[in-house]
Amino acid sequence: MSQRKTQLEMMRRCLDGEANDEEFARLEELLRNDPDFREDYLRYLNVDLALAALPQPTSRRSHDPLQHLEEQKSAWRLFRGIVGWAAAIGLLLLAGIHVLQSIDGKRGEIRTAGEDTLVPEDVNDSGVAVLTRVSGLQGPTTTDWRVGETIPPGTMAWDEGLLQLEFYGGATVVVEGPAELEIIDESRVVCLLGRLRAHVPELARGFVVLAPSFELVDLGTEFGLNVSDGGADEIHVFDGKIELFDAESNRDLTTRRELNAGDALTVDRDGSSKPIAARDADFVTPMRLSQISDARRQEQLGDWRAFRDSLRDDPRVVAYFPFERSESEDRKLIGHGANGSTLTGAIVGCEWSEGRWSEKSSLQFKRPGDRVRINVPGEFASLTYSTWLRVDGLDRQYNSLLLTDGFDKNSPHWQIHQNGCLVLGIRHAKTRIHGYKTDSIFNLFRLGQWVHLATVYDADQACVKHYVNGKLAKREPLQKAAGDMLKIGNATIGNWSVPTMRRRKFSVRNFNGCIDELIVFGKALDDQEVRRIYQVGRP
Amino acid sequence: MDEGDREQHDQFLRLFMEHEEALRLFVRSLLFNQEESREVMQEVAIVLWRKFDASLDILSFRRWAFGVAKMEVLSFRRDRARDRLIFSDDIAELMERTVLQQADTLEHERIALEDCVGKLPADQRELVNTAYEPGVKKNDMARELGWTSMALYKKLHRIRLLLMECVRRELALEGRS
Repeated sequence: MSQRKTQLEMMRRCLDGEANDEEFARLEELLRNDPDFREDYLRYLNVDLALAALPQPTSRRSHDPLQHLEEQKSAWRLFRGIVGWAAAIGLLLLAGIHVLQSIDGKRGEIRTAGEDTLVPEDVNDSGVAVLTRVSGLQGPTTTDWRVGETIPPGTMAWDEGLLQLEFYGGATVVVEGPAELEIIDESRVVCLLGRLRAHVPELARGFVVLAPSFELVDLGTEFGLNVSDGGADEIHVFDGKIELFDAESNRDLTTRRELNAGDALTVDRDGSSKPIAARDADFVTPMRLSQISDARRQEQLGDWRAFRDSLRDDPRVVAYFPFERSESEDRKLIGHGANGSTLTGAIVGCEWSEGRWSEKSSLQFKRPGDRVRINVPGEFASLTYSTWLRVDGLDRQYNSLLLTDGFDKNSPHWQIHQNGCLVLGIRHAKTRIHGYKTDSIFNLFRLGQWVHLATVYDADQACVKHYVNGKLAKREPLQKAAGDMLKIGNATIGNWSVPTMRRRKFSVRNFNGCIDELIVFGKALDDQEVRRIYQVGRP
Repeated sequence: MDEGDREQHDQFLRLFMEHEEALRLFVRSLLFNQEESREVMQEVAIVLWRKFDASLDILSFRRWAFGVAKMEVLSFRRDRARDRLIFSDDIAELMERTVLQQADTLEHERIALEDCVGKLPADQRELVNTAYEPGVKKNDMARELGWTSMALYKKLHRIRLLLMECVRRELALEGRS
């Protein structure tokens, strides 16, 4: 112990600028060769840095150091890391960052501008249409599209599947892929590729569709058009009438043609056209899309139910909660554990809501108290966590998915960090904590969407793997200190019970969103198995 | 600021704040002087923002950020450091590795620190709060207290050691096993 004290004193002398060359050389040698010393060095500096970052009381004057102090305000905690370089950044990030602009170098004048968000919310709707239905969409950019979201002017392209757009101007459009649309404003769209059917009520007359070989102005109708890849384009009028002009002719009246209900035309890229028979059935109506959607949903629900039932016989399952509301006991979360045993979770606060499908229920977590208390007995060399959830917001520094009580050795914490990373936190030894994390996976688009998350702690492969929607997102080797059996025991879904000490902000970890399935396997699943769970359960 | 710029700097802030404390610790471990390391951190922040590439994932950003920090420390030492004592290059590598390895534990320790400061006897707490106030020069402070500078440094050192012990205890207590 005395040697350590001597070493620490030597550290201090170096940091305070009192050391001579010999002492410095000694420090360097120790840093190079002694990993414990290196850690101690960093821990010492860590204390120094943390002290410098602590919030100070407002009315501090440094003249009389022993003056009686006011209570420290912990509201600045979020900003204490920013203080040191606030001046520099404040200069750089000028426009629009009102929060940072209001910080100046002195801690005494920091104004809090909301605890959890750094940048003020923008209340601005640049949308011109709403995406109201999708079915079987495939394409590189389609995963970001959410039903119900407003679509701003811009391009939408996809390889397969149907979607329905309701334009602010009043027109409803169903488009079948492969397609490429450029939305100009609330009553104009360019169709570069795809099969489109539009219903344009009276008040939306004048809805315009631009295609490579013509400009179509609707006069209060229902029509369909098919723009193919380089070939001839087709126009079919099912009801009412439309006007057609040559493309880029600026609606030259000499090119004007009128088509009525029952008329149909093909137009070549060179402008030549010939009449054809109108084919109503080829163009999907909103009603038909709704039926297709419903049928597909029923099918998926069926697949999922079969999967749910199969888990009853899966020996690897140590906890399975399908989140199906029980009419008779709706404050209990019914599930099953190993060997067909029943597991019951105690629901606190959470309200039942809709899940991935309208026929399935989920639990909604909103308020700080909302949680489900469960107990998962047993010890495991490897574990797999799997959940279907919808994250509505990342309000806390850590947002709980499944956290064991306290933070005991080898009792994992499965959670989402405020910056959007999925984290499996494990205390491998008393003072060896490690968070195995992904990159940020919850950006603005993923919030509000049903997502499948899975994390595998694999003792055999000595790694932790995280999966998002069935795809591997991160693989990290286990820490050297890892190696013991994991246990869950008393744990909480969507919150943290028995948080360690009084960390206040750090301790509040209530989840904001809905969860509609949770599975814990006492074994490590492989990539294919995780993907299968995702595919069988996707809404 | 338009939509795209806003996204860009949100992304930057997210990534930067995730690593800010680790970077600061890294810089400090190579530059003894607190003022100097603060200055270098500001330069680091500026360079990271100016050259920020939003397509970087966390791991790449981290690697890059530590690289920039190392570079800024080196150029600061070359141009400005008052300290004639300079670490060899391999030390920087070791410090970077250790900082990253211990990142989670060190974060928990920082969080525990506030409670530990609260547990200090009142006079020690006052001393520490005053000494760490921005703009306070320890030599001036010692004079005002009627102490030698050496005495003040040693006293602060002892308090830091107490805090280190407290923090370690708190962390161990958390793992009630």
